Amino acid sequence: MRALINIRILILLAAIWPGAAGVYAQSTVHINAAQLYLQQGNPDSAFVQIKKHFAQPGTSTDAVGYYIKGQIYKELYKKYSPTEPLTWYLDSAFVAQTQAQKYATDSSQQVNIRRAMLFIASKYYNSAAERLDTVNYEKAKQCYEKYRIISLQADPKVNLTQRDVEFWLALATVYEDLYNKNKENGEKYFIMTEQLLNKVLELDPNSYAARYRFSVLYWNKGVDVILSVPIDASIPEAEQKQDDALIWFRKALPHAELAFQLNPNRVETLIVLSGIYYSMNDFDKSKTFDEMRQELERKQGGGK
Amino acid sequence: MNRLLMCILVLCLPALTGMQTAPRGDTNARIKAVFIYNFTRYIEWPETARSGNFVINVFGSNTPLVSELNNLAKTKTVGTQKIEIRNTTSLDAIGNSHILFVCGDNTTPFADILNKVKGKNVLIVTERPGFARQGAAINFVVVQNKQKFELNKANAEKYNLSVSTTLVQLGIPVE
Repeated sequence: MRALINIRILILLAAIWPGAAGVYAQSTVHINAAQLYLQQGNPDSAFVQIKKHFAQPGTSTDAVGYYIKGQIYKELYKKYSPTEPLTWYLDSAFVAQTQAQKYATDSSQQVNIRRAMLFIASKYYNSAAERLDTVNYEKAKQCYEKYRIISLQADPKVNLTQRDVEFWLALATVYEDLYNKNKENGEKYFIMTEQLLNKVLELDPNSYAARYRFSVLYWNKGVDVILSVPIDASIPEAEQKQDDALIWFRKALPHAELAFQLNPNRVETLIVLSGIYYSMNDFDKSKTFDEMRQELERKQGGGK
Repeated sequence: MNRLLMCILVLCLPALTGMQTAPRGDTNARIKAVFIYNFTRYIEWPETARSGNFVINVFGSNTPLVSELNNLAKTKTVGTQKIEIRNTTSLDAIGNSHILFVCGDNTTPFADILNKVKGKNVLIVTERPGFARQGAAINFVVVQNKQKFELNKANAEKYNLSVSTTLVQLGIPVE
């Protein structure tokens, strides 16, 4: 009976891990058992077996063992912590797969290890996306950083630029929300938003989204300066505030103009351009962009 | 490999980048309201105009300014006078004002407006080029993207209003 089980395991192992059965014949009992437990959906018992396997001498460079160990940690994660990736399960799974990658000699093994790493990376990425809100954003940042590290470990040549741009833009929006919720004490979030948008523009100077968000951020800042003028302010005080606000409007304008050049068919860009010019008391230009917005809305079927 | 990853990444980052965040509030209206309140401090109305409510009349359409002025009226007074904000499009309704703000889009001939308030103690405030020379005491203008105001002291005095030297120094003089 036991021999039958071992044969089944070897067939199974050979199917999922080309070349494994032959290479690791010297200590297959525990690793086979671990594999079987994994197949049976019992990662706890599989974990006991893989520990016994690595307690044996001569296993410290066992790529197959590390691969299976990584798979066991992955299953433990799915069983005990499926909604919280920031636990030792996924970290340990990654460490085990890194070891497997280090010692694997076969290209097909490398493919499987990479696939396992990318699965872990995807869990962190998805968790980062889920946590991108004003409460959980710090965890989102941690998850995204782990996604980057694992993705690069899986494939050092991978290009993460697009992902970085998407994540930083989304995170910038979270920071902007935090700033908008508490402008009096939230200046640091304004600065963090600026820093992130600048990072995006370093990677992609033609990012419409970054240009647009910059224009809105600075326009709002200028408007806030004006609206902070008390109704009983003196005329010199009001004039000083106008000067202060103009600095922000003049910073907003080139971003809005670039956003418009990059994508002339976005209604929101025309709203911002019209608004910035209005705030700069250039009512003719404000009207021009407002008319362009109306025309665009009519063309797009959204106008009344 | 990338295709595999794309399949696994079932959740996309939130599509936040296209959201619109337009500011609330009208910058130009706020500054004009601040200036108008300052005019009440630096211009003196004759004794006969210092009883009853202090009427600021917006002649034409400028909802943001009316809104700002209504907020002003809730908390401020002119001396002991309560501030009353009116908004009209009728020439007949402009006579009994302390400040008459003529909106830029108002198409009523300016001469008709001047005739209507002739002999009264009205500070005429406009926002069209050249109006300070045509009879307005104050005319809002934009200089280098900033809201400023022209002041024609003589036009104010025609309505028996006394303008302080401080306001003269703050405005752009027009004769």
